[in-house]
Amino acid sequence: MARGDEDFAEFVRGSSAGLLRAAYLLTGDRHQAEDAAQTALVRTYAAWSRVRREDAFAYARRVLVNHVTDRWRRRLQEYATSALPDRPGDADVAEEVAQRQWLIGALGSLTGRERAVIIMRYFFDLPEANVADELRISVGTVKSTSSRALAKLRISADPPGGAPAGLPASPMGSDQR
Amino acid sequence: VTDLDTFRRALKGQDAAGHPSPERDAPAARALDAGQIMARGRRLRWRRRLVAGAGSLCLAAAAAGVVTGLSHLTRPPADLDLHPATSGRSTPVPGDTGGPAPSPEPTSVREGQVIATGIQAGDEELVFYAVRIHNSQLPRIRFGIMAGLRSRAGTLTPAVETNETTGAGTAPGFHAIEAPMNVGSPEVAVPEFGYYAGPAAAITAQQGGRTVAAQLARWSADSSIVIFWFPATIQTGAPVASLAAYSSSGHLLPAGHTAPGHG
Repeated sequence: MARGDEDFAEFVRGSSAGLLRAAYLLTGDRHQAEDAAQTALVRTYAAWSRVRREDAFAYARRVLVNHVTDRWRRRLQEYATSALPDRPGDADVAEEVAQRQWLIGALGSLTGRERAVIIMRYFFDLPEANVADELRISVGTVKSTSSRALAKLRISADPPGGAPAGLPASPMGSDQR
Repeated sequence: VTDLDTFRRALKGQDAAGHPSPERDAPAARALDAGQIMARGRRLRWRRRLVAGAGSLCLAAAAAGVVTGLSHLTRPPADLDLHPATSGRSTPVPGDTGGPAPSPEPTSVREGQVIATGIQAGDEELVFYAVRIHNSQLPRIRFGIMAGLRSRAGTLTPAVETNETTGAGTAPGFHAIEAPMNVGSPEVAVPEFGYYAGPAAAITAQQGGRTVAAQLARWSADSSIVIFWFPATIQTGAPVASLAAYSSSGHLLPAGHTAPGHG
């Protein structure tokens, strides 16, 4: 295997989990998530010789998010929650599944842009300026979108203890932008 | 989930201590197949060579061989020299040499005239031109479309190449549509572009709830091929939808492959 391929294979091993997780949060569906993550990695490989010298994960992340949001723009895909996995098991597993169902449902209540901003900010932990750059929106839009999304989710940015309780009663929204 | 830290942990699939929780059903529990990804990547690289900061391709873009910016369908004057540029072989994509040897790549011999767009990118102008393709895996594909930059001195730098990959390259309809993208360093915004095989006199699409028109130019080497691009997509960065081609009499023409690819 060529050196470049070895490096890329290592990159895939190291980045798959994060990209898949992000894709799952963005799409709400395992199969779509895998497709989106693979697509991001395919495009990263196609540009590997260039991006390997830069920040390859940032490139893959940007491709992933833009790929998913492009699909939203074209209305080819709805945020999918129907394919949520069900698995029997003990209480811990049940709790884990319940939390994931809430999470996916809650993200489903957001618009596509809100979801992308939330994932970039709080899953990838990107500064607002980087989110703005990667999504090609202004920092002000990142701030307002993030604030609005958190409010929808009833999540307080205040330290734990001062946050209001409550979950979205009907997490599935229809606006996918 | 009520506070931000808890929400962050939920997003990341972490437990209260910040350790990964065993989400056995979640898709993040395994690595993707690198071999399969690289195989697809090679095909993509083959199909669309993204040249970022690559060496320039020195082509003498003779003034007589240039179709000026178009706001409507144009035909090049009959007296123009339509010979392909024999020196039009592209430089190798530098970075790609570090990767695997993909299946034989098409050479980028320009065929026909350079199409000016009037779209400036710094001191250069975005242009389009057709390139020959010879590949045994695509026996019915003879050409692709290159988006490139032309300097004031006439130097062409290839940027994005696209070609049909299914069926015949000249079957009636849309082909090789490339979604808008930024390439190079510094980045250059390349609009959505592609070509239409047939007597298209107008090409439209939907973007943001309104109809936008493509700019068109007929390929000088084959007048049945219409190269088009959507300047409006430079601003939005988003692909258009519902492409439609119309004849000069206003009749809707066959659609073909209207889905854009992405670099």
